[in-house]
Amino acid sequence: MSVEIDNIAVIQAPLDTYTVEKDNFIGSINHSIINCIDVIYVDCQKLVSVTSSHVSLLWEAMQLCKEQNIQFILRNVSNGVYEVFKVLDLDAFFNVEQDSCSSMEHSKTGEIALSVVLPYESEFRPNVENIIREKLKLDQYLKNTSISHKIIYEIETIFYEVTTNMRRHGQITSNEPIKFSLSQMNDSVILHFEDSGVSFDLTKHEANYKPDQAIKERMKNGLGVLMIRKMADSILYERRDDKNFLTISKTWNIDNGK
Amino acid sequence: MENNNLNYVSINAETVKIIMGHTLDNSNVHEMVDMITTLQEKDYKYILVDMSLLTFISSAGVGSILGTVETSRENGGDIIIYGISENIKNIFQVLDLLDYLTIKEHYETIKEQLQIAE
Repeated sequence: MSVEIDNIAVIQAPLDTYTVEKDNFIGSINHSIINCIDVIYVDCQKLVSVTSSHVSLLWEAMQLCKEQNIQFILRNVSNGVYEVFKVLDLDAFFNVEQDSCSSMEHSKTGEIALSVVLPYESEFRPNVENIIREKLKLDQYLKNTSISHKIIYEIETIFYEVTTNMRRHGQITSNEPIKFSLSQMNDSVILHFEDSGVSFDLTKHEANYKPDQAIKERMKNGLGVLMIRKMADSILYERRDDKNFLTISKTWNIDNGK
Repeated sequence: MENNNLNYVSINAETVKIIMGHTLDNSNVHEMVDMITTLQEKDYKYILVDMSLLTFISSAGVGSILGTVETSRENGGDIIIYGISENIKNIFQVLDLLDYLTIKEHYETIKEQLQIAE
C-alpha cells in the first residue's frame, strides 16, 4: 500500500517477504521514483519482527532511492527492529525518523527482547564442564529473544544431547574444538554443529522405540538421539574433510511453541 | 549457583524420598543410579523422586529412572516421580513416557495413596 502527497510517498513495509507483497513493495518504490517523488517514507509499524530478508528488502529499496537522489526514511520503527539494525551495524545507513521508535518490547530483565534470532557462535572443547557452561551461555542468549520458553528448552536440550554425543562417542582429541552456530531462517532456528570426531550420522540411528519395552529392558542409554530426533523438525548430516556437519532446524513459534 | 546435590530421606520401612537438585545430567547421573540401586538393595519398595527443584534433565537423567524402575516394580513397588515442571513433563512426553512412568503432581497425593503417616 502506498500514498503520494506533495512529492512525498508513504509506503507500507511488507510483512511477508516471500509473496507478492515483496513485489508490490518494490513496485511501489519504483512507481514513486518514476513519479519524481522527493521523499519516500517506509512505514514499519506492522513489522513487529524482522528477518534477514526484510533487512535485505529495505536495503534494496534504499539503494534504488539513493541512485535517484530520493530521500529514503523509515518511520514507526520499533525498538526491537532498530536493535536489529544496530547489531547488524546498519543503523548508520538507514535513515530512521526521529521519535518514530515505538512499542518497546521488554523482557523480564528489562532488556530489549530481540524479535529475530541474530547469529550466535561458539567454539569449545567437548568436556562435561564446557558443555554445561556453553548451555548456560546459550540460555542467556535465547532468553533475550522472543522465542517461547518451551522452544528454548528444546533447543538447549538438542544442544546438550548433540554435544554430549560428540564428547562420549566422537573420540575428539582435546585440542579439537566443537564449532556451534545458531541462526534464523524464516520461522526456524538453525543449529549447526561441526566436529572432527568419528563419523556419526544420527539420522541413520534406530528410531524405533517402545517405552514399555525400554522399561522392561532397563534401557539407560540411547535416549539422547531419540530426543534429538523427536524435538528437531529436520536434521541434515554431512561428512566431509574428515569432519561431521550436523544441521538441525527447529520451528520458532513465539505464541504457542511447538 | 546451581544445586545439583542428591539427598534421600527415609519415610518408613518401605518408602524413601530422593530430593533432586536443579539438574540431572551427566555430571550427577551416576550418583542418581547408585542411589536408587542402593535404596532398592535396602528393600525400599517405593522410591519417591521429588523433582520440584529440577530445571534440566538430560537423556541420561531420564535413563537413570527408566533403567531402574523395573526392579522396584518386580519387588511390588515403584519409582514415583512428583513435582515436575512443564519443561520436564515435556521431556517425558517427547519420549512417550507419561503413561509408563508413575508421575504425580503433589506429594500429598502419594501420601494418601500409599497411606504414609508422617
